[in-house]
Order: sequence, then structure tokens, then C-alpha cells
Amino acid sequence: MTNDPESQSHTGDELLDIRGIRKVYGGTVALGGVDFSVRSGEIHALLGENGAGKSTLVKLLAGIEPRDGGSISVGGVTLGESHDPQDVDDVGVAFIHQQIGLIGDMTVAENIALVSGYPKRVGLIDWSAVARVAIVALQRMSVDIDPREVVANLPVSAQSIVAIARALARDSKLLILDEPTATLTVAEVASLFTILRRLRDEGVGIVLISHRLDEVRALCDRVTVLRDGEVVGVAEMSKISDDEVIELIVGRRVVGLERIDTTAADPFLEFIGVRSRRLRDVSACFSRGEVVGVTGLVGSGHTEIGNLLFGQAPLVAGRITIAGGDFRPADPVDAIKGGIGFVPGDRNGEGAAVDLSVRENLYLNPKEGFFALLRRNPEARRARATLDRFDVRPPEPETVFSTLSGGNSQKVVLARWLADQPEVIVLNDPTAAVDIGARHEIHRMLRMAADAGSLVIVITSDMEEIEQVCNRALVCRAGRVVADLRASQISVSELTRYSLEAA
Amino acid sequence: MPTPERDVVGAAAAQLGRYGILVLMVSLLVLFSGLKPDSFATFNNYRAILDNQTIVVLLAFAAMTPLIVGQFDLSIASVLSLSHILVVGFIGKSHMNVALAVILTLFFALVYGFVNAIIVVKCKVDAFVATLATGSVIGGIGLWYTEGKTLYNPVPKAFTDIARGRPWGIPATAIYVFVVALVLWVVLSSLPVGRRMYATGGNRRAAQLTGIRTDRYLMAAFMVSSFLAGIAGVVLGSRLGTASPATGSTLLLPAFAGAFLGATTIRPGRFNVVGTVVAVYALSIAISGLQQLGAPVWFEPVFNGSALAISVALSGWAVRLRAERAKSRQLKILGGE
Repeated sequence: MTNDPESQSHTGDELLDIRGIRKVYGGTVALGGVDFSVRSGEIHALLGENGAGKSTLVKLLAGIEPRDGGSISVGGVTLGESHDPQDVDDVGVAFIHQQIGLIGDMTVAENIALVSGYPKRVGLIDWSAVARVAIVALQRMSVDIDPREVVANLPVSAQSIVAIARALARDSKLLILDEPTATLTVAEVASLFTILRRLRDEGVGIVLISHRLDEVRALCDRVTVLRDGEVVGVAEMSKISDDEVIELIVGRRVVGLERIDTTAADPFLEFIGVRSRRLRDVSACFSRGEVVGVTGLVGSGHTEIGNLLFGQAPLVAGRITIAGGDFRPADPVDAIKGGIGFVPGDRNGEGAAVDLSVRENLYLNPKEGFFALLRRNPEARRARATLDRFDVRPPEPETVFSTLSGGNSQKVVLARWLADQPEVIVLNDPTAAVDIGARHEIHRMLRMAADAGSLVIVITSDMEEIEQVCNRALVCRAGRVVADLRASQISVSELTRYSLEAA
Repeated sequence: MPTPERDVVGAAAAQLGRYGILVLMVSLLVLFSGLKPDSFATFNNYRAILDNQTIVVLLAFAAMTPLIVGQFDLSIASVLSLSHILVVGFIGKSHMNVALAVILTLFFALVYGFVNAIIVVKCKVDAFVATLATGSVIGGIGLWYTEGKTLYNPVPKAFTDIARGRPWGIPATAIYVFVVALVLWVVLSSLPVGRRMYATGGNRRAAQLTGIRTDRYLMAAFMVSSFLAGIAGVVLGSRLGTASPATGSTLLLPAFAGAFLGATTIRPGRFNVVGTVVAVYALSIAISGLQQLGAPVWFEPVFNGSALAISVALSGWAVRLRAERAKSRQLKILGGE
């Protein structure tokens, strides 16, 4: 499994060949002599927990940061010791990040021209040629995107496709995709994958960085796993099981959560004929002690259920009741009074004030009275206990929030609510862009909250997550709940089927 | 492996960053006192610097309060100017009782703050633009009230004593600044209100989602800002005993320079009371000392402008430095496992 001899024997046609690359940050070894190679015409997964060294490796390859040792060659061309982003661009490597790097106010064609160069005629930009270049680039992807459309008006999947088209307009031989699907819906992921497979067949080398094992399994030919700045495994995907991959990533065996059917014997929260801007007649009931997954495609209305509970969307008709009493929050203040906790999907954008400390983020809205002095030391002690309990690393209350990894920052946002046991907690995409180890810990936190008597509602487009953590699942389509599945009925395929199926 | 020396250097750099402006202020004080023992190093000069800057400190607090919730208030200098005109006018022209005139002036200041708040929070106009506009309107009211002339009407000693009084030999203005600073410091650093203000400034959406009514904090910040500018105006009117619509506008820049430079020190990376006080005095000691050494008149605005630009750059750098250090600490922890 480790350093599969087969992968060593292909040195002849390596497209990307990185050898013994090292990076040290202020005395800390981020990468300690890593070998990484990608062939033409393969999709190669680069996996590892946050902090394992994936992003450092990408930064060194991209020439954003200088390396402290090792060599990089692309298509036989060896890059100089301190190459810059332009050099990498010249040898045909393109990077596609989560933040896609397109300019929203400009058209598709203009964005493509930004990197491929503006064709000129008599010194002026030749706009029809700009459009032609874009059309050719988009045709290669076999997608129907209007080059005159303003990028901001396109769905996110189309935006990433434009980003890829832009890379290909420069004849890139190697694409590095960093979590390209984090913001995409199931259908969008499928179309992106079709395109990536086609590019592979045309001989392009592709590196996929992802936390989603199901995607890696569906798409990749080989996998390299990093842990603590070292390569801990290189394997053909067909020769390694998911459990083995996870063990490589985490460094220990991870035991899945047991799924138990809950019986909604004692409904605590009820939706009765609820209508809103996005929901058309939804009735559902939820009990304490349940972890209920709510899923659907973008626009299906699944996120609206959480928004209604937290006063983020107006109720048009119908009733929501908690313990039999009418519940109609006008804003988050009402919702919190009604016992609801809410974890937004966009962690840094909506979940935390990232420049403040972890302690301040835990107690962002202190519950103490108006004239209560917030004394730093007792608060820090309380924060430390909470951080320990939820296994946040480092458990330092004065750490600046923005320096935490995705998993740890999400744990802090969760701990803010879970520490005082709300009756209902609504979570939006709780493990988006969180590594596999932290994902399991977050799932365990949710289970513990439910066991302690909370109702946990997980709103997510990640169906694997529902399969892993939920006792029940609701699937929304076109503003209605089309399926209410018990634990034994939940599977990614069932969830996908219900969310896609025409009514 | 982590090298201990590097970390010591890093920690020292962080401490220096934290107290850098304070160290600079003290060094300048010592330096100028040494260079000009007869004029700079006198009790009267120290007292003059302390006294002179009180208005700038109050105005810097007025700039700082909206900055904490993530907003600019550019109208503070106009509020200061109009307040000093009104208080002098009420007393000198309308022969109003001093206490009533002061209360009325401060009430008007609160009203401008309320108007700013409504325009920004309810009408959702960008604060920078909104307060630029209201500042011009408020300045216009001052011109209308004075008809563009300086008010020389005699005012009673009870009024001028507000700023010129020296209980126990301490300038009364220094006492006002101390009291205002103490109240602001307690509220901002130790009361839930302060936490919610920093939360609102840090991420308004996240603050709302934890149940903070951010609109109220934004409104309050603009009203406090105008109120503080009003206090500064009353002190200014009392000190001068006269009022002119031309007075006040030159103080806007030093006030913002103080607030931004203050954000690089004591609590680097965030606007804070003590840092603001230290920054205003550091700037004024530098200017006063250099002027005594023969710096020309044009030097002061050039110095203040440079200080504002540099302090904004520094405060960004302070945040990044802190983040870098935290990150490398974290890597060490992860690496140690």
C-alpha cells in the first residue's frame, strides 16, 4: 500500500514530478521531504487532514512561497529554485481554488481573456475575437454557457467550469483543483466530473484535493495521502478500500456511529401546513433526542426550514409549534429565547468574528446582565473548559479565531451553542470543508447533544453526512418534503433519488 | 525543530509592537526635554501639552466609537465646530444660563448623532458618504448661526472656567478626558455592551446570528460619537471664549490618526481607549517638540497625515503578525503530537 512499487516504475511519463520537497515555517516542519508525482491522463487525489501539508505543497508548487529544498519538474522542465507563479503558468499548470478567482462584474469572455490575453486589432481590443476565444474554450468543455453572460449571474458550478475553461484556453497540461465541489449541488458535481473525466481522456493531468471520499472514489485513479508533512501512502484507487484511506489520513482506525431508528412518539417541534417564500405546504414533526437530516438540491427549500426556525425568513401560512405552543420568531433574538440554536453554513462569513479571539467568539453575545463585568480570567477558564470538552486544538482561549483550521473553527462555533444545551439546534452544512477526523468528532458532538435531549436538525447537501449521523432524514423537492426516511432506510442513493425524482 | 531563540525574538517583537507607541512617546519626551531643557522640559510646557490635546483626545474617542462597530463618522469635526458655536452663542448672544446652554448644546449633539444613525442604519447609506454629507450640513448651520463671523460676545467666567479651571492645579480638561476615558474603557473592555460592539464591527452577520440587535449598537455608536464631539465642542468654546465657524475642521485628521494609531498599540489590531490616548499624546509631543526645534508651520498637517497613513498600514501589519505567530504556534502543537 505504502509506496506502491508500480507507481515508482512509471517515472518515464511523469507529468509532474516533485522530489524531496521541504518547507519549514519558523522552526516548524510543514513538509519534510515529500515526493509527489502525477501522470498525464490521470486524476490523482491528494488527501490529508487540515495541517497535513496539502496546501503547503500546493503553495510551493504554485510559487506563492519559496521551498526550502527539493525539486519540481513539470513535463520534463525543471523549475528553478525560487520560481514564481508566472514560471508555473508558463509550463502549463493551472490552479482552481475554492474562491474561483473570476471577476464577478465582468463577462465570461472577458474573464477568459484576462488570462489568455486580449486579442487586439489596430491597437484596440478586438471584442469579436475575445468572444471567439471564449467560445472555443467553452466548446472544449462541451458546455452551453453564454460567453456574454456576466459571471456573477452564473450558478457556482458554471463559474468553476468557466475557471477551468479559462485554464484550458492556455493549454494547461496540469490542473490542480482545491475542493472544487465544496459549494456545488449534486447535479452540478456530476457535470463537473463528466468534464474532468473527458479532460483526463484527452491526456490532461489532474490533481484533486478533496475531503469527500465518495468523490475521490468516483473520480480518481490514484491517491497520495499526506500526514504531518510526510507522504504516508500512494496507491491505485482500485487497490485500496475507503477504510484504509481513512486510516492513512487520520493515522488511526475510525469507528463509524451506530444508527438507531428513533420513533417520533413525542413530537416536540411541529410544522403544520407551513408555507413561505420557498416552502409550499410542509408538515413535519420532530422529537427531542433525534438527529434529523434535511436535504435537497439548491432551491428545493431545505434550507428554509432552518431559516424559518431562526427568524431568517417570514412564515406566510401555517403554524410552527414548539411543545404545543405557537412559535413565530421575528428575528434571531426571538428564536434564541424560544430555545433555538443556529449554526450558519458560511463559517467565516456568518459564524464568527474572525479577528477576535476564540474566547470572545465563544461569548460573542454575553448572557450576563447589562452592568456585569466580564472578567477576563474567569471567562478564559470557562472557555478553556469548553474547548477541552469539544477537543478544540489548540485549547487556547486567546488564539485569534482566523488562525484555527476549518475543523477547529467549526467546533468553536458549535461549542458556542452546544455548551448550554439548546432545546433545538439547527446546523447548516456543519462539516463543509472540514477534514475527515474533525468530521467524525463533530458528528459525535451532535449525537451527544441529541442523547442529552436536544433536537438536532442537520441541513446539508452532503448526503453521505446524513447517512453517517442522522436517525431520520427529510428530503425536500420544489418546496415540499417528498420523503421522511427512518435510519434503516437512509442511504446516499435513496436520498439522491428522492431529491432528483420528478414529482 | 522549534528554535527557542526565534520565539524569544518573536515574543519580544510582539511586546514591542504592543507598547511601541508608548515607548516612542516616552523616548520623544526624554529626547526633547534633553534637547530643549529651558523651553520643552518645563512644567508649564508639559501641562500645556496635556491640556491642549484634551480636545483632540475627546474627538479621537468620537472617531473611535463608530470605528469599533465598523463605521466611519466624518461629521465629528463639524459637530465639534457647531457645538462650540452654539454654546458660546447661547451664553454670549442669548444670555442663557451656563448649565442650560451646555445641556442644550449636548442635546443637539445627540440629535445630529441620531440623524446620522437613521441615515446609515435605517436608510442604509454608506456611513462614509452619509457623514460626509451631514458634516457639510452641520457646518452650514454654524455659518448660518454666526453669519460667517466670529462670536466675540462676552461670556461669564463660570463658562470659561469649564476649560480653564485648575482644581488642585490639574487642568480641568484633563479630568474630563480621564473620566470619559475611564467610562469608555470599562464599557468597551469589560461590559457585555462592549463585547457586542466589537462583535458587530468584527462580523455584523455573525453578531446578528448570535442574537445581537446590531442596528441598536450601530445607532448607539453614532449617538455616542456625536455626543463626545459635542463635549469636545463645549470644552473648545469654553477655552476660547469666542466661536468661529472656521474652527474645528483641522482637528478631524489628528482625531482619526489618534484612533488608527491607537489601534496598533496596547490591544494591537483593535480600536481601544488607552491606545488612542497614548497615540494622540505621542503625536502631539512629536509635533510640539519638533516645532520648538524649529519645524515650520506646514510641518504639522504633513506629519499628521503621514502618521494616519502609516498607522493604518501598521495596524494591518499588527493583525497579520499576530495571526502568523498564532499559526506557527499551532503548527508546533500539531507537529509535537
